[in-house]
Amino acid sequence: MTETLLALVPEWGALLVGLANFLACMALPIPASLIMLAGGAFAASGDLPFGIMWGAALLGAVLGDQAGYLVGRGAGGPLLGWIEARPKGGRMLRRAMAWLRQRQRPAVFYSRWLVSALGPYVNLAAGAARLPWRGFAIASASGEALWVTVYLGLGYGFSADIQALGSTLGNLGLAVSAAVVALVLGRMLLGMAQERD
Amino acid sequence: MIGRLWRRHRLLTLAFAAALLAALFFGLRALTFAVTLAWRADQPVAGWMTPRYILLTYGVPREVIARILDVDDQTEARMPVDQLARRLGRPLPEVLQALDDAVEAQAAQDHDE
Repeated sequence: MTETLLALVPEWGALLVGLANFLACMALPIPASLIMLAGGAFAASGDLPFGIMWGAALLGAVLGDQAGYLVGRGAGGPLLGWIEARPKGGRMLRRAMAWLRQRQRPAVFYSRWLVSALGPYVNLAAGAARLPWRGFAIASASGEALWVTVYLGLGYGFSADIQALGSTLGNLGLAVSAAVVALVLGRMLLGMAQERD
Repeated sequence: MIGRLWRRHRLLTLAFAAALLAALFFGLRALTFAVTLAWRADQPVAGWMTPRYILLTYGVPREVIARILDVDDQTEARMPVDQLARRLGRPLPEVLQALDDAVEAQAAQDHDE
């Protein structure tokens, strides 16, 4: 599966990189990071132009973020209403929303690259919470620019090892994301435990 | 405290424990891959690689690759080896073997120099 995907990269180049990023930003299980590493590697070998790929990757990611935000905005309302109507769920949801509103830009920015596994869900949540569009767009574009540069750059620099590098970074990304979720949940639990004392 | 949290917020506590376990699991996996990345032997030539990628990664001379795959650098630069093999009507494993042999010959020659 990985090999078939990698073989598509030199032929489809910028189009594939952009499309993969677009779909991955909408929570579809596309290994966009491996595709970007491969894109960087094929740029190093001279098969693909780096600049065009960088632009396409960024465009795909930013459009994917916007699409996720719009979906969250459109479909999130009724779902949020339903959760909010339940006593315990409502309280937790209000807390999560308050947290997101308070730290909207860092939350969006860091979920583009550092905790990228959470990115698509932050898009949906940001749309559902109706975060101001401008702030979301700026944080999304700057975070994605960093993410795209890092992955294409790593692929370019370590072109001989992209498969092993992809596995390492993929697992590391999931570990960091899970740790951040654990941290947030742990703080919520701690807060609840102290409330009752 | 844990007992009370467990009784009142069972789902949240479970989610917290699952997130901790996941962080540990993927962290260890990342570590394993990082270690094998440092210790791995050179990977063999694969079907997804392009002639130029093989040139860059293994340092096999352009002419040798061109002879095995029957390509010239300009026209088929962006085609991966599996497609080039299909075009030649030769089975992929055979072509990969020929490329691996060329890589080995090149490595031996570099070693001698």
